[in-house]
Amino acid sequence: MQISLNWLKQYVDIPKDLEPKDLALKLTMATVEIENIIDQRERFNNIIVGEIIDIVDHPDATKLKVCRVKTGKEEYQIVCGGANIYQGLKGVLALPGAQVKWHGQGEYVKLEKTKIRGIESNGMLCAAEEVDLPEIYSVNGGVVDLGAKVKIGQSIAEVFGLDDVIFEIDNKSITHRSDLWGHYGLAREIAAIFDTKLGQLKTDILKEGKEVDLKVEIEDNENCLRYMAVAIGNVKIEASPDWLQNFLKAVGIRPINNIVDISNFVMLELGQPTHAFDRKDITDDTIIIKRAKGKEKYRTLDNIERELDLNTLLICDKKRPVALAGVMGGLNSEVEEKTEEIIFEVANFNPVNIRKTATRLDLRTDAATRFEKGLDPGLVEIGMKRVITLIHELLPQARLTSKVIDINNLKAEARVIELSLDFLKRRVGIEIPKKEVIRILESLSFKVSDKKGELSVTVPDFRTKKDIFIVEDLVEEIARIYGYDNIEQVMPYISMEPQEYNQEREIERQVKNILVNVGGLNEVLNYSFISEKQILNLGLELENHLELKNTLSQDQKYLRSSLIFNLLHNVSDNLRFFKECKLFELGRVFNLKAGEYSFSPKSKELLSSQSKELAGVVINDNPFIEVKGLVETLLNLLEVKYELRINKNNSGHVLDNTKCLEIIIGDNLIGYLGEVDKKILSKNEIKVKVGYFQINYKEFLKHVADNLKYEPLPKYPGMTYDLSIIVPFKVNWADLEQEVRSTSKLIQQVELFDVYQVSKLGPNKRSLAFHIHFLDKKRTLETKEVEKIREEIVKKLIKKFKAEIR
Amino acid sequence: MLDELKKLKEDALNEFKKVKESEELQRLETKYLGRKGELTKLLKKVRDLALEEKPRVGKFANEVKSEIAKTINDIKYELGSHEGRHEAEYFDLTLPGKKYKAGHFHPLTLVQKQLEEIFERMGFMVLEGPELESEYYNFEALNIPETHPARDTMDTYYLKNKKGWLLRTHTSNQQVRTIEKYGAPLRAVFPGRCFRYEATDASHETTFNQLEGLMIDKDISIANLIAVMKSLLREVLNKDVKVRMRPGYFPFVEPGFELDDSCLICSGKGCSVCKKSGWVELLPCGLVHPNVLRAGGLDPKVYSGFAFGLGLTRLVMMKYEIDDIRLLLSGDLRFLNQF
Repeated sequence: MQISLNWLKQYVDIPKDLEPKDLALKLTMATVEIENIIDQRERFNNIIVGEIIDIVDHPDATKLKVCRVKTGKEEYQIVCGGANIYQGLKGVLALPGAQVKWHGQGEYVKLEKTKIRGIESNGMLCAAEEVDLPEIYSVNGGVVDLGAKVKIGQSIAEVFGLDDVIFEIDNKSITHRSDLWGHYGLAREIAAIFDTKLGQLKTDILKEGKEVDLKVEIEDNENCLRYMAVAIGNVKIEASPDWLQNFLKAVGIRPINNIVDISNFVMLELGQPTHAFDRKDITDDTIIIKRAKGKEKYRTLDNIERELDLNTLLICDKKRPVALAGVMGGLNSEVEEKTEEIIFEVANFNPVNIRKTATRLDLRTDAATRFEKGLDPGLVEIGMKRVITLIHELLPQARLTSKVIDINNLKAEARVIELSLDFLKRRVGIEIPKKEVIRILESLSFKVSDKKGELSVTVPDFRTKKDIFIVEDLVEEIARIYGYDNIEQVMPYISMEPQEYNQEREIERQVKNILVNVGGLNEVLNYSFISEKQILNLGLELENHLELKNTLSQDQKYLRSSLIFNLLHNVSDNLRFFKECKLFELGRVFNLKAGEYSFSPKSKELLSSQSKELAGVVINDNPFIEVKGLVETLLNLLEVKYELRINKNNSGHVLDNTKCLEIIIGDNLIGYLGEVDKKILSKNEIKVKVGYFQINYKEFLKHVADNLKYEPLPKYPGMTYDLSIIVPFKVNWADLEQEVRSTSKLIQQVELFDVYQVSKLGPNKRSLAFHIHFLDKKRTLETKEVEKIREEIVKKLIKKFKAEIR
Repeated sequence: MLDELKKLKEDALNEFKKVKESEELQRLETKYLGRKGELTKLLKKVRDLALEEKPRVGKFANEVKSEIAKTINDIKYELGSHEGRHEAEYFDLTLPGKKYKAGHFHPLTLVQKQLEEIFERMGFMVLEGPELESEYYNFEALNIPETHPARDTMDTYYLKNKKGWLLRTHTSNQQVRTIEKYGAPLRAVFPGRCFRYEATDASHETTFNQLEGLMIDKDISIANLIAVMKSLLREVLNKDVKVRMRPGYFPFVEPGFELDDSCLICSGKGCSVCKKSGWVELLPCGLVHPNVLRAGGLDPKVYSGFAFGLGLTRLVMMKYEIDDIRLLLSGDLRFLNQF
């Protein structure tokens, strides 16, 4: 919203030496954010009225003249090419330093003294386009001719009434303050901030007429809370006076005619929209406020056909709609040049209804924007008074031809809030003197009665219930005008009691640390959304997924039930640039099962499960071994007791069932690892092997331990023997290791260090080489006994696994 | 046998002591340790020894061998310093060191961790909550009834066939859940993922992260809020920036504030980033609205508190000067490898 400083000055005394930017800052700090300040005068610095007193030909250019231009005591030599110049012309003289547009195009540039074809020129007589003056001053090939009446030396900004400063207000910062949607409301704030006087609005009372029997019927009491109307006759439609046009133009509103301009002026003064109908278009002088019957169509002022619905509130006459209530007038009842009688409407509508209609039609007019904030119904009356006063002022011949009708469905109820000064002190954190508290409240039009430490505060009606209703609202009013900068900061005193330990956060940090710094994985974060295709590509059912009601794209239609969907997406994306990659994600996944969070304290409904999953993908030569190692390292470092189990019937849907392992913790299946099934990969257009692991993070958390205890260092040396054997493929290392280990209690560890597999070993055979570490904690081992065990192992391996010793 | 080895060792060491040139050293090395050298000859004899003697003699022989080898090495080193060893064994110190390949944390994780640590130092709990949320906790409990215009400004994702289910539009959904669970006094922050139903571009995303904070105790005041917010910002931005608090409107606080910091790009002089105002809007905050306290079961006459919301995603973008928000969820390693 744009606010004009000159307009504000109509209502409030602003300290004379106060710069506009300081006023804006004060408003920002106490009331609303002023986003931008536009100073019209700055644009016209060094541009003044000058009169040509002499013209001679330029010695060196046929189209140019050399003029002497007078601005009072000063005279300037100006080279000019304007075709329309004459001695005595009063024009727009730009002096060095002025901002002008060359030939009326591009950005402003700073004018400087120059020589034109050898003749000195100390400024420039401007065409309208060169300084952005209204089109009516534009002369083809010529300069502006201001006519004889203007005073030489006067600044152009003044001549055109362009000496205003415009404040741009962030509309979002006043959504709760319907009283600030007009100049008068802001003037009231300024008066409170600077402790100056707020002027009263002038209201004239006109005699009501009798010749028109104006009737108003409200059929929809819920959506029309108050409606005032009056018929006005002997109206002559013409242009508004300059002062009114200038105010409107300053805040970006195009002047139309006196009646429309009055309507807009009152809206911008009070925040209360009003509307004028041509009386001849209102059948039977009857106005009915009701909702549309259904899918009717209606043409609004902007000549666009609008589709109505059952919720659309309409202003109708006896036969037909004449306006979209609170949003926009209708083409069929518009005030035109030949209009002689009008009916003025000032009303209050249900903000929710207006907001819904404006949103549905995407028609956010100035009126709708104000109505949807919820206006004080009392404003209707003030608005009507101001309309009548301005009509009287601008159209003295006009008169009221009907009674002023007022249908008011709302009873004003006084809002009184008790404010204890002690409470105020506790909420603000410092003591504000009672005198100052009362001054602030009264300057904001609150009524205060003092009852020994308790103030009884009556809220003015224009501060709506949504805005001021509870004592905390008063705390804000007082503190913001007192000045937040004047409140000394105080750190709160708190109990030393340690806060609850959040194991989940701590473990999360450790998990990420291990995966990144030990495993060398990259952390990714993906969208929580997936597409229908992604679900089907994994062979899963759509109905097992939560679906969004509104979505921006088909890629984001469902909530992810696992991290794998988007991780596979990451793989195919990154394969364009990288041959290998290792990624993981820790994030929430969603399914239909009931979760841990309740819908509300009163309902028994639980929101769906949305627990965290930890998953990763690996692309390299041997992804199975890589993911297995990653999972083992992670679980070992976090002291989780786990088992990796072969179960070819259960591959978690996505893994190749010959290359997958179940991750078992405490008898529970909490995840999988392995290589992704080739069919799934090809559906995702991935042509390399992909290792994958997935862990139910919440279950896993329960098993993270911190039980590590020191073990005494061995006092006696151990011994290590190496063994290299050839076995058939189908002999699993885990079985072999188990067999070796079980041979003797002296075996501390069996450590595989080489797996070797070529055809010369024989068909379907491989070589395994491993260290066997022997140790006895109580004595030095003897070579003989260890050798004996070794021989025993060899025998067992030959017998059980058909091993050949190399 | 042991005696023979001992003698060999003594002879060898004596001879080595006299060596002055590398050629001579090489000759002696071959003499003792070569394939047909003295020691090798002796070792061959070990095979013929009785089984129980073998280990002992074998062990001693190994010791002799390593001692001789060490002596040779020492002499080589000494000779080297005289004889231009540099040329032959030149070591290029400028070769790159061994590469250790660590992975990378997501930038959001990095910034979130920093923030969490700041709050932990100030005694706040770090809690998480549901991303799939109910209208009640996301709106109603926060004093945003169904007809409130604020619901329009937060374009919300709703779920199909699940009445009142939505994706949270802010981490403020945690406020009432946390009060219900922990009561008062309370100090907690809630980092997390939020969602808005809006078209994406370089500065808008459907998915972004916030960090909400909440403190409740007896007589928490505006003066407290200002003090905590200012020291918080000092920690977050890691310098003593100028900040200001001005009125701001949010339905779940009363009074509400916008906290601005002096623009870091132009140091408050005014530039395009701060729209020439010299200030950048950083953090909305305020005293918790009594309706919110009541929704959590607390008496607003006894308790008061403050809440604030930090745009985590925005902080990440500010910190690393990331100009396109969409990169954060792109999974693009060319981006992620930079952190």
